[in-house]
Amino acid sequence: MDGCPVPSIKRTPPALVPTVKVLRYLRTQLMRPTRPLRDGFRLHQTWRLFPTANLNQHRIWVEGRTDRKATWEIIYRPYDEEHAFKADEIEYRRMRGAWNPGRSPRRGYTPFTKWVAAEVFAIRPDLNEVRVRLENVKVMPKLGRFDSIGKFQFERIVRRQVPPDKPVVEQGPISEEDPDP
Amino acid sequence: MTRSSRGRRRAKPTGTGSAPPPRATGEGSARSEPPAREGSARSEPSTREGSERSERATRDGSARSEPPARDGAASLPSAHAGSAGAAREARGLRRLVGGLRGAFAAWVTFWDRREPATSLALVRILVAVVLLGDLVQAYAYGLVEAIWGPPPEGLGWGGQGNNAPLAARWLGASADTAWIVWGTGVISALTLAAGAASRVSAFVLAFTWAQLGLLAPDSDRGIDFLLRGVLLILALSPCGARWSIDAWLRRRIGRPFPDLVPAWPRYLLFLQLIWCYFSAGHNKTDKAWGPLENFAALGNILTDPHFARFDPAWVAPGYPLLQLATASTMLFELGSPLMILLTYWSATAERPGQLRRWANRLRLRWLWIATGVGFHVGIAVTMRLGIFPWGLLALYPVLFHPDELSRAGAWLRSRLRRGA
Repeated sequence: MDGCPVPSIKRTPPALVPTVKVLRYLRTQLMRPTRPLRDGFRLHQTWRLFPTANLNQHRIWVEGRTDRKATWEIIYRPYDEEHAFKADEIEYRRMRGAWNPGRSPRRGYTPFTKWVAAEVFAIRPDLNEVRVRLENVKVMPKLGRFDSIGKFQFERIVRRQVPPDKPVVEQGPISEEDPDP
Repeated sequence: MTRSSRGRRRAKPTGTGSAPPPRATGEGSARSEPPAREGSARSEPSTREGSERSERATRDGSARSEPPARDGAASLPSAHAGSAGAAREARGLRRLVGGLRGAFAAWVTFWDRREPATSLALVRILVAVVLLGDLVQAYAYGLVEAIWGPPPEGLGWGGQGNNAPLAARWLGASADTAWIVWGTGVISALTLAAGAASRVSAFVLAFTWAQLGLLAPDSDRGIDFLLRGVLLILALSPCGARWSIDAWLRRRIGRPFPDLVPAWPRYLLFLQLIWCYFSAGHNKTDKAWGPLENFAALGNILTDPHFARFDPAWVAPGYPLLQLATASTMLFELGSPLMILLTYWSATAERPGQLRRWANRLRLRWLWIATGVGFHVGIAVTMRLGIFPWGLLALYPVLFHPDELSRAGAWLRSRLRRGA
């Protein structure tokens, strides 16, 4: 019953919307007794494995720089052997769940940017800012490559709170994105 | 599930058939026979026999459908058409009740079947090893606190707020809680794999896995949902009856597990696996999975920098094969309910029927299983999806009857011996 493919209201033709609403209501009511089990153990019966396989995808970039006037240096990017900082960790399935977007960034995206920034700052004392963003790419399987379409989304910048070798008075204002050390 | 039927199933070991309805249906139809016999008795004129029949019907519980007065009328040679019609109706009703009773008995008999615990034990071990592997991987990457700890150090935002999971409510949302839950997961996965307190271990692991998912919802993927459901079924099953510390201990104290255990957990896992594929098939709404975009989906995914394991340069020359693989994937997933029928046909190969004969001759069941294995091995090699392919392959033993697994094991052992 849980996995019964009742379409979403958005995807339903207007004539069938009342029927779909009734079906959804019925399903909710019939499944009400099992809800504690379902919520407590996080169970469902709707399975999606790559429901969408669009040509428009993303590619994550993690970059760093020494100060606001410096240019950004790439630290991690998929398929970039020269910039593979913490690649295994970032690409671990549970971590990817936080940064790989659907139509919008996930709630764990901002905590992810803070985690990756902390990791960068720990290894690279020269860097004081980390930027995480997702490049819009178009995949071209027939050509065996993906190309950038020149746009980035979901940009977050995390700044080191106390840059090393600098007195606190020389710091710039701390951005909203970086309220924590 | 009566005691007598259970005893009957114990006394008569199951055959090599590996799945659904089969012989039970035969038993059911046999039980629906009696009404016809009773119907033939109705033509006898004796009222004594009529009353005996009604008594018998009362004992059967079907007296309501056959009032004695009507019986008496039907026994008269000059009975008019109305009474004959009523008798026909009564006969039909009796047949219906008998049929329903037979169907119910067949249903109970089917779910009460017994078989060796081989398949369940294999699933228990494989699932536990896969989940343990995932936890160990998180530890090896130093990500336990990063994933399940609360923000800002971790991604575990689920541990905050009013709907925090029990672990966060009991222990507080902290890095220590992340370690405690992770450690509980590791211990319960180890004990489940070893078969120590198997049922409790399966339940604790399901609970722990849910807590991990609730602490960091973004890190919880479809395979985690699936395996939690599997763990709950294992927790209700005698999955520790073989290859386990439980079985060893019970042998030592002189109370071994029975040779045959209930088969329903395997049937449920079988249906779960089939449903998982079918659901994945009908949820693939993107046109790239179908002919409208020339089955481009797998080519697109293997060029996606977030999922593909290798540089996509190899995709171009292999593109037609990937189109074929996309179409095969859809066929495999949407056709998965047929696996129930194929398994039934394979288990009842001696019965007549051309379709059954052809399906068995073409080994369609084995073809489906081989496609599934190829599908997951292909995913494991070409995509970075973590435990997904291994988690699903860990459930494949439920597709086989334990006797088939035992035969395969014996064959493997003999080959190894010959090789040595």
